[in-house]
Amino acid sequence: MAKVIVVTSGKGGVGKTTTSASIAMGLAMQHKKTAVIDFDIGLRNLDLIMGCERRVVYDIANVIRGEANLKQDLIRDKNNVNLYILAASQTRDKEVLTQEGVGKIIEELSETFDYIVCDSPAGIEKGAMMAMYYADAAFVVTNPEVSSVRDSDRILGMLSSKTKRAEAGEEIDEYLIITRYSDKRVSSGEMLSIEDIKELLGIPLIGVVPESTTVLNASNAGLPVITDPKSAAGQEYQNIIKRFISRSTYEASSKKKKGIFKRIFKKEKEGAPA
Amino acid sequence: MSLISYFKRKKSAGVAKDRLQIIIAQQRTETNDTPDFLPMLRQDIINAIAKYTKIDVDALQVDLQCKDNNSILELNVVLPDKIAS
Repeated sequence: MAKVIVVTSGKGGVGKTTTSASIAMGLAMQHKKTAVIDFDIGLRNLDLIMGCERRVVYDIANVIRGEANLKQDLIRDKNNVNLYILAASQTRDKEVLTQEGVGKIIEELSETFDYIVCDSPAGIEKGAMMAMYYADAAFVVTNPEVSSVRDSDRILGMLSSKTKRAEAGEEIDEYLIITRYSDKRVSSGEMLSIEDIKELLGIPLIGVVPESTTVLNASNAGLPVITDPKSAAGQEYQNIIKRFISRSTYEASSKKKKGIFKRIFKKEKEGAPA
Repeated sequence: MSLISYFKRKKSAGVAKDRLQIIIAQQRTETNDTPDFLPMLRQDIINAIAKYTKIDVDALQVDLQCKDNNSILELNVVLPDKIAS
């Protein structure tokens, strides 16, 4: 059985697709067979971020309508054999996403994949609801900014009431990812801090992706930013994958870091008089 | 001058947090399945106060703030001058 992950936020432009691409690639890099599905009907973007836009022949609408089978539809990633992409349709008809149709796709993918990553569109309409419906886990992407935090809270409300798991009285694993974070602006008091957002939303924090120019460069090149080992954002996505697999949190690993730093500092201090 | 702007800057994230705390608390009470008693409570409070004083109904504020496990019901009544003095 595959684990279904939804990447969602409510607000647009916070980094859902960037996060979906990097999470999916990150899982594939850990040798997990991963499929990533773009639910943004009419405005597909995931194919561009993944760099496979010219290889899209069939899309999710074709599968749901029965015009193509899932095997024809999945695009294999050019860099990782474990990663497959299911593109969104560019049709304007959003009604193509039905609960049964999506359910069938998830079910069929579950047979052969370890993870299914659902890239949700912005908003709270059909595409977003369908992206989250079958989720076992949710990555809620939030910017340190008022409207994004508010929308994330609304999405959290929906995750706990409008999903298959919620209907069955089961819980969804929720993880907070803060993106476009700037330490500088937080310390000058003009940006909500990690602590502020954590307190407001009240779900476990799994990663803080810094505002970084490398994200745009990666998008330009059609490569998920996680594949850039020099990028601070890419490194944090790597950390998110590690924490996700080991069921750890951002705090746990940042505390550890502090410990090591303290230890080194202490050693130096101790060594100084001698 | 730089000191003033320093404090001004300090404020904006704090303001954002305060505003969000209120909005999120409201959102959560709205989506709760339990019946929202706040409008009824508000009306009863207004009626009770109006029974004894001539208050301006618009000047009465009832806010509910939720933080962690605590809910704070904040009541703000401006009594007419005659009664107040």
